Amino acid sequence: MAYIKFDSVHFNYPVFNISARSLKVALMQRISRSSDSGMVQVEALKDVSFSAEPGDRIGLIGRNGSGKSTALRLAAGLAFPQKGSVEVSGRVVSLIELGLGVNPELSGKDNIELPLRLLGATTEEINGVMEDIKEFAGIGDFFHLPVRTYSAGMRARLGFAICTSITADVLVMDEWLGTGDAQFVGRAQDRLMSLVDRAKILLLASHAPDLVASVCNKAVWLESGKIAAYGPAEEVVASYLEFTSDPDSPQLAVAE
Amino acid sequence: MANQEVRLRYKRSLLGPFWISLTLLAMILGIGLLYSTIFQQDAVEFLTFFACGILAWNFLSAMLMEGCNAVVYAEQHLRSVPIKTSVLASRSVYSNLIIFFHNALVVAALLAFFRHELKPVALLVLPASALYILLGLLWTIAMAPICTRFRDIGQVVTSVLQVMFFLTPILWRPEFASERPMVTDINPFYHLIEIFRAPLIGVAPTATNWFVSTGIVALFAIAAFFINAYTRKRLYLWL
Repeated sequence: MAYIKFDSVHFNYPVFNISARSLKVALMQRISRSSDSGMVQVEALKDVSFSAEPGDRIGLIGRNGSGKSTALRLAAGLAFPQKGSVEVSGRVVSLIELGLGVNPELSGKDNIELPLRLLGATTEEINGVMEDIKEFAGIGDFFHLPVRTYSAGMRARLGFAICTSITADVLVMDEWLGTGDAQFVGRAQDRLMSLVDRAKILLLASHAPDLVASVCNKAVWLESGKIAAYGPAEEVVASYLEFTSDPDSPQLAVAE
Repeated sequence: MANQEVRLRYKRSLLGPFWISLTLLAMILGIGLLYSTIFQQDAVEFLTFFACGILAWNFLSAMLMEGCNAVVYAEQHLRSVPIKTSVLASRSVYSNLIIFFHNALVVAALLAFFRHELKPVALLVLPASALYILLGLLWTIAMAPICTRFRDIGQVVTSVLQVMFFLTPILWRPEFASERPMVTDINPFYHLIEIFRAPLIGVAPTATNWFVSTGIVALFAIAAFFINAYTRKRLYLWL
């Protein structure tokens, strides 16, 4: 059974500058007992708890730097919390970056396999969706030419077609994907909706409260890494909108 | 992933990876002839010795150097999907193994040209190669995460390997240093090269050679285990 469970998650992010990346410098500092480590800790999430069961569509809203993307990365199994626990079960497909694993020297056709493998698809699935991707991307004969020769729009369409071709138990998405010309946007939205429908759980981070209200049933509002509100999407979005129209804004917490 | 990389190299030029092997051939002939003259050695015999040694060295050093960058190369992927370090290590070792096979063909052709006769003991290159592959994997699993945290380690490894190339009897015979046996005995690369080169030349490697080589592999197995356990959850923060 698919589920996501965040249990009082704390997550700190070290931000390295160039000198913190060097072993030489690190050793010198040990010797000279210098206190400037060139490293700043950012508290990205503080005591965040929420959970999702099959059928749940959870929206994460909040301003830039509020911890939305960090929460997605924890759910996608990329990062691990320092305190608390994140449990995710089922096949997770994360659409955090488009154009994943695309190699410009290879043809569109050859470029399908690697991204899908990285997303965790099996060989059968890859063969199964090959035609679908070709058709949906609508790049015609360019399919057999190196991606390097594609226009930006074609590249985006191919990336989109690849990312949205396999079914996930848990779909993790950073911003609603939208790309291409007007005609393509319509098709893309349909395809994305069907992908979301097939997924058992959706975790969507977005800047657009309206979108969250229409797609999701639950919402988490993050403010400086803390949960400001958690509950039915419409209520949370309503209070979020009310809050953002109010211009006083506390700063992002930075701890040394 | 690795297949893709190799195919890519083929695609760009018709000769593909054989370019690397041709460079190797030119290097073996050029340097081999020069050094056999300097050291007043029998040219064919020295070339055989050098070709087998450089084949092993190139494979080993390429794996060690690339291993350091295995995680950094995949940085972009790792930002959006979790990939195990062992997968990245396999990719790095596999692509070097392919290059190694190409080089091995060139060296085999050279040996055939010299009418060098392989003795049954030559079969020992198989366990030696297996040991190399194992070392390459374990080294990468151990070093790649560390090199991600401290980006300057890769450069250190490269410089050390450059120095080791000259300190290890590849361009010169171990007998040349017989007055100072320390130079070869304490050099782990000497033992690693010897388990591969000696069988091809027709001598069985000594027990010490095997012992040191397997010891190094065992050491990195332990290191890989602990480093992996420590870095698995932190790796993302270092990208």
